[in-house]
Amino acid sequence: MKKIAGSNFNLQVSDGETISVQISNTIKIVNQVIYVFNGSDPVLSTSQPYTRTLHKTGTDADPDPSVLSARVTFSDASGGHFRISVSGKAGEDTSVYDYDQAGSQASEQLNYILSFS
Amino acid sequence: MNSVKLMTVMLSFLVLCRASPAQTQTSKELQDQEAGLIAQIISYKTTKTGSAMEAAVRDEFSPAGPSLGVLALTLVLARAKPTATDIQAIEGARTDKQVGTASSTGSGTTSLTTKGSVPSILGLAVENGAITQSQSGTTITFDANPIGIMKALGNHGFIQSYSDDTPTTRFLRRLSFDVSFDTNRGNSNGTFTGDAQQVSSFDAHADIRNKRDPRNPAYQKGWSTLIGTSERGAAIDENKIVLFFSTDPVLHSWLLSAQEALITAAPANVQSTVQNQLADLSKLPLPDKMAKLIDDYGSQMLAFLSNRDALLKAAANGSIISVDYTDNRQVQSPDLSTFKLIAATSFMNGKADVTANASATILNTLPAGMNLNRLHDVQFSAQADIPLGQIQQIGSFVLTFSGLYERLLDNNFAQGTGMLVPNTEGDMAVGQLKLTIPVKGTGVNVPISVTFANRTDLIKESDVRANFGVTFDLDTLFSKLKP
Repeated sequence: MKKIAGSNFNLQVSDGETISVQISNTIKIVNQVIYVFNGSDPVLSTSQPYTRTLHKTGTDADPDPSVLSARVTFSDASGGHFRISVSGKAGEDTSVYDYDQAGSQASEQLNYILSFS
Repeated sequence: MNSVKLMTVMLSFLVLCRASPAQTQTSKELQDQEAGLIAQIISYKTTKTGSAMEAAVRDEFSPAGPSLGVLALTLVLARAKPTATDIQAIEGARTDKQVGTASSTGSGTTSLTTKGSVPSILGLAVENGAITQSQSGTTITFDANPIGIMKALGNHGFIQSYSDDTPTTRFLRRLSFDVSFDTNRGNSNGTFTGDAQQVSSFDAHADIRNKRDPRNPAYQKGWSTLIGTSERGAAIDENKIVLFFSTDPVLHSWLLSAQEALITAAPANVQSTVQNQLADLSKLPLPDKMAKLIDDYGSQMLAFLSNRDALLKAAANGSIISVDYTDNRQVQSPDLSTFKLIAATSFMNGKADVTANASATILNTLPAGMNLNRLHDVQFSAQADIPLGQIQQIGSFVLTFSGLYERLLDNNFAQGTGMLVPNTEGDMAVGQLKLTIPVKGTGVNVPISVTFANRTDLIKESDVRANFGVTFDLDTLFSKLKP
């Protein structure tokens, strides 16, 4: 997985690559993260990473580009914080982004555009 | 205020009056997210340069990234409003909105200055949010925040990752500690030195039961339902909206132009640039499919925000039982240890609050030659705070009833002398009636109280006092003073 032009949210991925998303360094976050991949989703706990193997070709080919989203809910009226890390093949880029709850913001969604190389 | 500004404020006031509670809730979420976006872009402009700054600003103001919520909520409100003029009027009315405004809760006086400098380790801890500092008169108090310490250690790389919701941190969240320093003590009279001589008290607090924590297991089902329904719907809609900003030529052109405007804007102009670009976005025609997604997103967000508010309100009205230990260091007389049980809950459907305390204070040492009990006093107190309702432009009045009974088992020590004041043991009863009058939106509160007591600590004569004061929330006040 590589960052395109240094962007944390526009990522280049390879056919067959498995990407992993991890929420960590959490403060005042509800322990359930919503992940959406091209409009479909599971709901996982913050302690469990989300993983997905991407396919450029074949019967289960993913759209190019694809969109992956992670949505976090703040449990309190202020003071929330989390870190989101997205990684792929070992040795390539890792996207890391820290987010502080803005005012009394209720939730935050990070969206990633994944383009195949 | 000139006539144009006055008209803008009046028009926006009228529009806001017309705005439904739903739009107000969504507007508030947009305002918060927008403020965070603006603060982050300003931060990039002041900490990064060249291509690194440009990449960071593009990342921040982009549908791929953290800001699609801002774009989507802008479009939700635009589609809910009759005309673009109304939107601009609302945006114009927010000229006094302070980016990154701190919470407006809190009351009481605070001092603007600290006497002397903060010792380096305390200063480092305060600076990194590991502890918070407050001052009342000559007493400076530092509150240790276990979660703040964890975050500070994490930010400086001392720990790789953390969560405030593991079994260990859930336990730590129940605890707090504070230390108070009296600047009049020690050799540097009036100057804060932070040495042991100036320590006037140490306090440890533990929650036994805290149903005011929104993450208490009692609310888990509520969160699961909320996240599994309306918030899930909003997440799916937002995910599907992302690529329209790449595929639709009008939206794509707007995005590129907005990013360039933000890259070239000076930090002082970021707020107005963001607001102008969002105003332009709200006027753009949307593809039909995207318009439907925006409408659905608005409905899902409204349901989510309403249900979350209800959950947080239920938590705010929850009950608390906690214990407190305070070690009071006295001058010339024995130190005192107070053990306190605190219980609080709400009534009148959450509109009113009642708190009760029971405590016992002991002498840490028994002075030689004095025939004193180890147990110094016992106290019982209760307080009820009842909001009386809102008066327009003034705010919500609060009526407080409180009472305290204290049994002094021995004569009291006169402060700072080590001498016992004769004939001071016995019962003390105090009752207070207080009315707090807020001045809405200013951070100013006016408490007026009458206190009845059968005696004071040192004088066995009945005492009736009327008190009048003014309290300031300095954050709110300063936010009004800034242009």
